[in-house]
Amino acid sequence: MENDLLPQVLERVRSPIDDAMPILKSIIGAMIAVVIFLCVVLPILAGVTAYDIDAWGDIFNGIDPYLWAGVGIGFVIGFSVIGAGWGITVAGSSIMGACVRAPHIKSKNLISIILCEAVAIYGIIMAIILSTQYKFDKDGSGNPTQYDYASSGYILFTAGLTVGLGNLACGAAVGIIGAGCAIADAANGALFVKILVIEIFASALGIFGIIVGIIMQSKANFTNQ
Amino acid sequence: MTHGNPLFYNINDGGLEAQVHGYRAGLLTQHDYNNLTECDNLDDMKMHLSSTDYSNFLQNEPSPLNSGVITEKATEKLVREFNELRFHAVEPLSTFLDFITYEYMIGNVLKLITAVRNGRGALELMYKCHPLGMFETIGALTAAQSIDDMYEIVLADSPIGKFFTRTDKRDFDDHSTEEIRGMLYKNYLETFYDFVQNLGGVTAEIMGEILEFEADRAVLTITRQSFGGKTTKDRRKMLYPNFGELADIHDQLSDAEDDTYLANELKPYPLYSEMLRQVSKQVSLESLLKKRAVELNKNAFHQSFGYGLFYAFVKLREQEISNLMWIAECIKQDQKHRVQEYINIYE
Repeated sequence: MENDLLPQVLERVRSPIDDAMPILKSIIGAMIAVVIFLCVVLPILAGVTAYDIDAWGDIFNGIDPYLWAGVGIGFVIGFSVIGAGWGITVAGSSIMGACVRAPHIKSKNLISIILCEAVAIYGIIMAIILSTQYKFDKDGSGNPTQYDYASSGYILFTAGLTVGLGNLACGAAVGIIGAGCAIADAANGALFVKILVIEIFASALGIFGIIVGIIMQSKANFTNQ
Repeated sequence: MTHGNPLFYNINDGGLEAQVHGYRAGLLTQHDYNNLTECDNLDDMKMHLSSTDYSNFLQNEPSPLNSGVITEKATEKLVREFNELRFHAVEPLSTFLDFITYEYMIGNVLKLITAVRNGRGALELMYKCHPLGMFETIGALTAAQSIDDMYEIVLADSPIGKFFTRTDKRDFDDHSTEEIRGMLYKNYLETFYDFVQNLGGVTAEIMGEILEFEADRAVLTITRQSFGGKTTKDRRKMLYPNFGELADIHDQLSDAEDDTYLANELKPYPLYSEMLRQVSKQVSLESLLKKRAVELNKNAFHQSFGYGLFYAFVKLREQEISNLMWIAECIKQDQKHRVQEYINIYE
């Protein structure tokens, strides 16, 4: 009777939040998805109903090497710009908020935005370098083999993917550190240089990808000249 | 896209978070407090405050100031800053900020309930309500004759209606104001706690710690207030929030009738037993708990990508306003030997 009179007592069972299981589940799910894609979806798309290991080779062989190269060039500029844009969003919103009370930080913290922007410039440079490798043997002087074609296509694709993903991670890292840098600078100006050093280290990550990418693309040779 | 992921957090909440960090830097420092406690009259205080983040907030006030004006204007500043955040916030931050105001709404409604019970006019009490806890229909509460009326007319549809009972049979007039306060606060804390735990990430970590402490604080306060009172064991236990560090010993605490028993029960919890040991005539348990709350709220600023600092900022600013009030009262009533008893925020 008395319970009816009282405001509702919220009865809930509170168990500690389990962080491990959701992550494990998502990892297992991703693995299953990859296996299904490779073993079921791809063969079906290629018109192979029975499972056949050679079919994979046919699928990849069927793609023009020039398509691989083009997709690689697209990846490098696309991922780099996503990384740069992401970094600028993250850093920029924090800089705007921190400027409300400490407007003097705005020009100093532009350097975070510039470091993010540099990531997009890496992507542009890399895309131009890869594009110069995108050549056709028009007059037939080089006499490239089938192997030259295929390997050049794969090289440009993987070089683009390497640099693109590297720049994506680099841009996000610079942005997040830039956000912290703006807040720290607004609170205490002496911290700016110290966090800037960390930011420069993050920004160097993109260079590693570029170096590897340049070395990779130098092996590509569509015309065998 | 889990909440508190550094990659996604800033898209919606980054600017406001940085803004709150800026506001935090505007809290009075130890240096300011030293200057304020040296003042001889309130106009000196006004002069010192004008060199801080408060700047010229007392500019238009006529010269013989009183402490009420200072707190009123300081609260106005807090409300202005809070509303600025609230207007720019999007889900789920907006709900989180609303939760902060619910606590003040509960306080305001209880003030009006007390006024209605004592037969005093509720209208003049409206001016004493905390401005953060105002909601649109609060004015209509003054017309009600009993709390059941209040619930029927206004509270059921108000933002804090969900903290009242949802059963068909309510008879609030059976309960003392303190009991109603306890129930509302318990429901509020539990709902808020579940909300932040559902958000997860850094918010759950920081706000969980703060709210668990608030729950324990409520448990200790209720227990000590009902020593020797008429509240039965069941009713007292009903008011305890159903989480927090002390959740395991709620049964024993609801039996407690004096501090010795309480101290004995609290032995496994070094934080609280140490606090209880320090209680003396000069130091009350309330002020020790407040100090601990300030400590926790300060820690909320040490991590990024969570909502804890929004709550912490409001609480720290509120503590600062009551510090100002204390200092102003001490100066006005010539009690300068007690002026140092405010709660230090940044030492």
